[in-house]
Amino acid sequence: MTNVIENAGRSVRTALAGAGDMVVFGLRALVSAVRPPFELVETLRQIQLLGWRSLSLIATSGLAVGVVMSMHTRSSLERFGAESMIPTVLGIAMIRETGPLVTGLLSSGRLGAGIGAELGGMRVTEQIDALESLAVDSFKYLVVTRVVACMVALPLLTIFFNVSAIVGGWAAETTVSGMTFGYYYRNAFSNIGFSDLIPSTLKTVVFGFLISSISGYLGYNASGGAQGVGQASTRSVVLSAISLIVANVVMVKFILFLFPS
Amino acid sequence: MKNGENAIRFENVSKAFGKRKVLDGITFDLAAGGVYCVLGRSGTGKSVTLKLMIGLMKPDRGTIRILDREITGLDSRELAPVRAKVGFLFQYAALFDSITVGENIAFPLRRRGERSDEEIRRQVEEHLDAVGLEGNYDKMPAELSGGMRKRAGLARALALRPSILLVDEPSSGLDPITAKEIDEVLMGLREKHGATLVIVTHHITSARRMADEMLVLDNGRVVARGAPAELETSEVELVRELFRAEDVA
Amino acid sequence: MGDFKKSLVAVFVFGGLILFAVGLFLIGDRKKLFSGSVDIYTEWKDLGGLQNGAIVRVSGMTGGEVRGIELPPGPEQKFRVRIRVVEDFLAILRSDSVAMIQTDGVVGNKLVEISAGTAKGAPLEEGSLIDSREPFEFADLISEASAVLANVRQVVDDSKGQLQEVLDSASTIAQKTDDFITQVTPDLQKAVSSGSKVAEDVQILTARVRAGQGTVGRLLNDDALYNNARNISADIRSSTSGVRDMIEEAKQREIVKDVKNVTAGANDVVQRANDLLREIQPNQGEGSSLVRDLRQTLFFANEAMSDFSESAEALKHNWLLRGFFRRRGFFDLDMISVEDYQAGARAPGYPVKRVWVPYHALFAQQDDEEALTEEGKRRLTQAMAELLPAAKTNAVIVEGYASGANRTEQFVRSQERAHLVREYITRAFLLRPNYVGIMQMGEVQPESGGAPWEGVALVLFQPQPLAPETVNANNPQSSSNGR
Repeated sequence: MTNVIENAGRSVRTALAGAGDMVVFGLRALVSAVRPPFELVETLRQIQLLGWRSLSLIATSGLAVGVVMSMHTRSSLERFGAESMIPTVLGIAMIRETGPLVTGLLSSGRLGAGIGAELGGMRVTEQIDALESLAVDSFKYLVVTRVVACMVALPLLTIFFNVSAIVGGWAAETTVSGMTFGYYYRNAFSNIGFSDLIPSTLKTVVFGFLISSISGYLGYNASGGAQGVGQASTRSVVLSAISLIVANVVMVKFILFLFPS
Repeated sequence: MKNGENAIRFENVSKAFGKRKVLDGITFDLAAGGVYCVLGRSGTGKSVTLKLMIGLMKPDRGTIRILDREITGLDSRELAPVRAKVGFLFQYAALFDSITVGENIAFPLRRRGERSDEEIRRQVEEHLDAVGLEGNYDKMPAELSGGMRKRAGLARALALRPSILLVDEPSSGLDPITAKEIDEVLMGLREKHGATLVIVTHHITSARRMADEMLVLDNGRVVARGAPAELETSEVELVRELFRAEDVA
Repeated sequence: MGDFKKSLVAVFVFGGLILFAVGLFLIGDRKKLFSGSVDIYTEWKDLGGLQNGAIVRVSGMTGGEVRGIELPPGPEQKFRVRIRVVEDFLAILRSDSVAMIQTDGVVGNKLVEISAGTAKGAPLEEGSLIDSREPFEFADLISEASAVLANVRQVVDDSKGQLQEVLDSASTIAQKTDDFITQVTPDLQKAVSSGSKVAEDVQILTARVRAGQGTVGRLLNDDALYNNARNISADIRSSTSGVRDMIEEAKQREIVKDVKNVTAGANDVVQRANDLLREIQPNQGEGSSLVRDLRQTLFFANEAMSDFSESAEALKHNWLLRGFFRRRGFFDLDMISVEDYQAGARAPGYPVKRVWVPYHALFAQQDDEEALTEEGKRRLTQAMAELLPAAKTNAVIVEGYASGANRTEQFVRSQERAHLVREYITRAFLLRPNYVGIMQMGEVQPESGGAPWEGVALVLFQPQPLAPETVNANNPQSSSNGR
């Protein structure tokens, strides 16, 4: 009995210590990001790898989500005869919440797993040690560049997601009602204010930070060979997705507090 | 660096992982220009010793001096000038697998600030030649065999012409013929560069072939040290076992 | 990193930023962040959820926003709302403009709709206070409609009693009232057909409500409200069936063969009918003829029905019932900009019949205002002849075209023209007002080039498929077809 309690206590302590480490790791990345020297070329390379290469995934998902949301919105608004509201409803839903959140979750899958596995792989094959042995600050070179790249890429990906979702929504709508694109996008933006677009897009910077610092932490500190790499990758996705959702709740509350609609 | 000066000095160094003591107050000097082989059973801290020498691990106690510079307690940035003079060949070469073999070797050159692409290309080709990998510049590490990877890793470790080269298990994972080739490359380099070599191995044959001096570790301490010929007559049980094992092999 | 990869990063980063900027621009553009604007005030007892920053429309065009709401200082006082409108709208806003609070669709925010004033009103300036109408409530509409229908019933009942007596007497007095009946029947039939259409609308409405579809059903779970609506429909049905019985009766009596006597005694009949009427309605002044009396009765009935039409118009703006009306061919033209209307957003794919009537044939300048001429009325009759009888059962839109110095002037003038024409054809052809909409097209250049088109076009939208064709009456845009 005492053993069980002891074990439970130990795992709680380990979990808390791990969380604490993770927070320190993330903050260290932020501080290091603003201190010279800057790994500019490597950061750009990471933006290309993490951002540009996710673009097709994000754009395709955006289109699909737009189409599906448009169909759902239509079926419920049709009952009130409010089909003309479809673009408006879709625009609000996408830009305020669905766009940022879905982009974040997709990225926590694509980028979180990628960073976790890549850094984990580099750790267990001693590539990180090799970097250090070559007088390179591996934390700065590997982690900070990815954190910065993700923080830049996420809002951009969100914008691309929103745009393709609106295009997808229009495509679905025009096949049914023949609505013109001009009418569609003007209406999509008809109920959106700056306080809808700007905070919700910028909050994905936080998503980018969470994804990259969590998966960076797990990958950078991976151990135990191929199995350890797989574990780092899986846990990166799970932890970053969960933390992202929780952070989203907090941020939405905060945004609504700052910009009551 | 003249022969006879201390390249590496460990003083009373201890290192433990959890409750397991790997090094227990170890003390030794390694003179510049020599070839040293560190031997011992698996898990007796041979690789740890090597990583302590380049600051990849920090000792729990004791001091380490590399090229007359105290490195315990230095952070990554302060370590950089020391590391620039020390090359490290990892057990499985640890090539960066997202870039080509040539770029792997070019990497330290670029980091040092070399700008001209032609100059880099020229130096990299030279290093590839030296380890017998000419014409493999544009291959990815995954396309190379284990022995070739090790040579490429060696070329990278030597790219900045270090005065100390640390080698972790040069023959592990290689067939005896390839392992011998690697040994020969290492010996050739020694003659060319005159660098201090510290080689961790459990392969007594290659150790005897190369070493000026051998250090045998057990229970976190140096239990024997001397030229291969001296150690053959050693009274220490572990050393005798090591030499017997070679005879069987 | 190669140049190619660098340019990918550039495309990614700058592409995203440009799209973001476009989004910001779209929002900023909609918010009308430009300088030339004035603040006017209005007051409401009940804001119905109106918030600071809400959109303001002037005659259906977005032109400002709510900039401030002051709480009422005491219980009997009203909220004071500061409204910022674009200066250009002062051209159509007058002291008799009325502000209303409306809902922009289902999830839509509340917005303020300000009607254009009339020429009689004084111009507005910074700080002016305009009248307001309290937010519309569904329950209010039902009670209003029920009062209107009670009136209709009374009018119809009255005229039924009178008619019956007149007819009874007429048959006994003159025996042959062919002439009389053929004169009266068409008017009566018109009355009956409009009456029964109103009843039909209300019936469909109540059936839908009774079926309890979606939110409507939940909202209207209130039995009292529901019964009220059902009574209304029953009332109408009974009153119109009364009229129909009466017509049937009249028709049976019409079986009268001897025409000679009729022509001979026509004057006599009228004289006798006059006497009779005086007998029935002693309070009626001297010299009122039977026919005039009937006309008056029918006029009242017509008026009562157009009252109802107005209520139905209000109902149409209520989002709960919008779909119901839309399916029946009603459209909220306020919600559609001229560009979207031109692009066919209103009824894509609907067959369209368009008749052009040029300005010089229609209007003459009278005391600074344009008025319809007799020639104009004749031309409109000619034009309507092409659209009838389909125009009776389908939506007709009167498009106004006018050139002018600026957009506001074009907007106002084309609206006035369309309005005049709408008023005339609604009256002259007994069209149901809610079937006739107007669209102010402003200045439109004919595709063939030349001066901007002045005048109106009557457009018939048909819900049934029909080979699209354009009827050309002095059409300057011979190639345009259902624009």
